[in-house]
This record gives sequence, C-alpha cells and structure tokens, in this order.
Amino acid sequence: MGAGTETFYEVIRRQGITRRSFVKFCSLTATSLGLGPIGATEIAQALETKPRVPVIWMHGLECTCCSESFIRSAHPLVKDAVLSMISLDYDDTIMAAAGHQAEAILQETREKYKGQYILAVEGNPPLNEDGMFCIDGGRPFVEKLKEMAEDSMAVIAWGACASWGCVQAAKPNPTQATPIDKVIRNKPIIKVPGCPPIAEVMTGVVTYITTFGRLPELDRQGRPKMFYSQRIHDKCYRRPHFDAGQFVEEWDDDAARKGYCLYKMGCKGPTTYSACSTVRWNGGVSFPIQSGHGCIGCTEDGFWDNGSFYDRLTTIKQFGVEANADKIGATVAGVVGAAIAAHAAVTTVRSMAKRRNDNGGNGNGNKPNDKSAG
Amino acid sequence: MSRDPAQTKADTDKVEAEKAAAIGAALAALYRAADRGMRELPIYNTALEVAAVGFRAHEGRALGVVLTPWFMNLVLAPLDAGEGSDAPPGATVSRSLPAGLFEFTVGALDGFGIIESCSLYSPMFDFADQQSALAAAEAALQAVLDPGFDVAPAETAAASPPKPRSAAIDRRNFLRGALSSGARP
Repeated sequence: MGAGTETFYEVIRRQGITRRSFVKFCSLTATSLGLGPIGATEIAQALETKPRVPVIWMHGLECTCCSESFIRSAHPLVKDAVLSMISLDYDDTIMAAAGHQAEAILQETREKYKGQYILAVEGNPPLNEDGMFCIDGGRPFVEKLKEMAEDSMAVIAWGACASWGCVQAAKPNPTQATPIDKVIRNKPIIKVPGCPPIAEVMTGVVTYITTFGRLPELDRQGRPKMFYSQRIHDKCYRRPHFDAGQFVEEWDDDAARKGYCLYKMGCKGPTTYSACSTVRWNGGVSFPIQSGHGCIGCTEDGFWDNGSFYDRLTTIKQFGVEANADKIGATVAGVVGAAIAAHAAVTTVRSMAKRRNDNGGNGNGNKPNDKSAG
Repeated sequence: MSRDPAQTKADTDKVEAEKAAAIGAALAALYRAADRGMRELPIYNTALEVAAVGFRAHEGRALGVVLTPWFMNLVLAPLDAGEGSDAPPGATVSRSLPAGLFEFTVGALDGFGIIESCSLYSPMFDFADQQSALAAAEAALQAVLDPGFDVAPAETAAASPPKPRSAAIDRRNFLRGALSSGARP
C-alpha cells in the first residue's frame, strides 16, 4: 500500500485514544476470538505496524440492524477506534460525505486500493426487474455490488440478509432478494449471519482479517468456526431444565418465572449454531433465552420460512455436539450401530475438549458468567 | 494403633466408589421420573431407556455419563450430597479432566442438588438401540479419562496465531502471561 497510509494505531492515537484503552481493546478482542494473551500481543503489534485496511461497507435491502449492533459494541473504543481502525472509507449510514462526494469515495478506494480493500455488505440485492427494487446512487444496487466486489480482497456478508436472504427473501420473495454469494462468485466470502450478528462477533471478524491478513477458518457454510461451531442447545444455561424435563408450558406460568426450558414454546436452540449462549449480548449481559423468549434461530438459513417462532421444533436434523454445522446436508440422517456410535462418541469428545496449555485456552475466555473472566 | 496407609487409601477409594455409584443410581432414578413427561415430545427416542453409565470417583467428585432417550451428558457431581459448586446454577465452568478442559453447565436438580453437565448428544435419534447408546457412553467416558487423548490437533493449529516475532520475553508479556494463567480457577 502507499507509503502515506497510516497504521491503525496512529489513527486512534491521533483521535486521542489512550494506549491503555488500545491494549484493553486488543485483549478483549483476542479473548473473543479465543486467542488468549499471545493473540492480544499479536493483534496489538499488527495494529501498530501494518497499514490500515480500507473497508467499504455497502447497504442493500436491509434494516441497518447490523450497523446498529456493530456501533453499539459494549467496549467504548469500538465507536471511536474500530470505525477508524478499519478505515471505514465508505458507509452510507455513518459517513459524513453525501451525494456525488460519497460516490467519488467508492471509485477512489476502488482505484487506489485495488485488490486490497475489504468489501463488507449489509443486506442483499433484489434481482427481479433488473434490480430495480433497490436503487443506490441512481443505479441498481446489484450493479454497484458486483463492481465493488470485482476489485476487493475479500467480502464480508454481514447478517442474515447478505448471508441467506432473511425476511426480504422469505416466501414468496417478490423482489427476488438474493444472498450475495449467489451474485459474487469470484471472491472469498465470509458469512457472519444473525439478525443482527453479535457486536463482538462482528468486531472480532473484522479485527481478525485486518490483523492476520486472511480470513479465519470457515465451516462448510462459510461461517467463521470460532463463533458458529457451538449449538445454542449445548451451551444454554437452561439446558439442565431440558434434561430434567422441566418446560415452560405457557407464557407467564410458574415454570416461566422459574426459568425452565423454552423448547415447548418454540425455542430453536437445538438447531441453531451461534455464540449467543456463550458470548451473549450487550457486553455479555443477556441473550434472548435469558430474557425469557426462545431462540428464533436467526443465524440459520431461511429462518423466516421455518414456521412460526412459537412452533415447537419437531424435526431436528443434526445431532450431537460432533454434528456441527459442517455436517448439515453432508450426512444422511440415520441411525447407527454400536461400533460406529462408539467411534462417533470419541469424535464428540474431541470436539469439546480443549488443550490445557492452549494459547489462552482456559476454556472460559468469553464466558461472562465465569468469575475469572472479569 | 496405627493403620496401614495403603489400607486406609484402599478403604477411602472403596467408600468413594460406592458413593459415586449411588449418585449414578440416584440420577438415573430422577431422570426415570421425568421420562413420562418426555415420552410425548418429538425429541424422544423410544428405542432407548434411562441409564447411568460408568459412575466413578474422580478427584473427589463423581464422574459418569447419564443416558436418557432425549440426551446424553457427561456429568460431574459432588460425592457428598448437599455440597454445592463454586458457581451458581446456570453458570458455565471449565473443568480439567485427563483428556483436557471441558465446559460444564451447572444445574440444580430438584431432589438431588447441584450437578454439572457437559452435553454429548441431544436429541438421541442417532442411536439405533440401547446397546449402541451404551457403547457411545462408555467410549466417551474412556476418551475423557485418557490422558494421552489427542485433542483436535487440526483445530488447535488453526486457532493459534503465528508465533510473535521476538522470542525474548519482555516484561509486559511476562506479566500478562503470568497474570492471565494465575487468574484461572
């Protein structure tokens, strides 16, 4: 990149952010990425020395909840630091520029940082009527999207809209809203689904890419494994009630007050892979199940078309901790005999166990509930 | 009269083993009681029945696998009834077992007390019969208790970042590393 480009650290220092806050941000992010203390040093070092990576943040058909989630990250640095750190050169929601000036930034970034910028996409393009259902700067959004993707280094699909289509792609999908990976075919795409995704997950993904200059490890569906390999059901704090057969039968019954399992009220925890039950929301304060409502499964493909949020889950295709998101669609659901079952159990244990001397692998790095985490 | 220390240890071991087995039986009885309510739900595998598998004393706690038609969990419980956990119900705790670290969810079980469970399977439709479920439970327990167990080598390699450039330990790194490992429970 050009010699004139500042590092992340220079930018945030210029904005008056203290080194202490910076270091704290690095360790929080490293923790949420499961990297531990060495990872924090690594991130700090990269942010101090590497030129910042420009990010173009585009909006298609969406509700801006991803941006809302992102800028409300619990750590106060996010609104100041992350937004400048990742060099958000273009985001029509929060940038000061408007009109022709804003459009000029797109072209400028595209030319100056050809093949080096990250394209973050919130929302998706509608393809019906030649894309006329979403006009951005006087042109169909789909055209702009393809154009900007062409010269990008990698693409981040923010939220359920960009990843799967979300509500605007729900049946009958009159505008033919289409997930971005069906439109952009020649760039690596990382999907960060959720409606919206957790702020820590979003900042974690962005920081990982800018720090290590590559995408994190993805599952078969293109989601970062570090945040989407755990099933809500397996890590839910109400799981002991499920095991004991203690269920909420009606909203506001005694069982609801006692915090019993919400399976009978339509909780989609058993089929949903997300970090909600471990990272939680609003700085680890709570998550939907903790506030008394079942999981609606917003990180999963087509969650609007999977019946009511309050319908009891009857078909659970994937089983066991070992059957993570990687296996959906890859395995034929079927029953197994003793020998295979024993083998599968070992795989299950392997996927749960953590090495004792991992980098920060104390196994509770991002558990807000854990006493040592504070 | 002084007793043979080896004999004393054997006695304690025997008592603890009995306690652990009793805990397994008590848990099985409790989940059997919940069985009727679960039967009507679409997450119930009618081919299976409740069983407590391999309950044993492990470092002052009972460790075993609870198998039911709707879940299979690795379970840790205090050997002495009434003893709690160091975390409140609902919390996630990290427990060190021979194979590595495992995350357990603390729960308060009516009629029993505090147990810590780590989900292996739920629901249980993968299992054709009780025999295969029992085989899986035993294999899981064996793996957890194996100190030589190879914990996801590929995943660990991918998760750890490349080594920092300077190998020398500076004071800041030293303090950070020392403080964070000291903070572990």
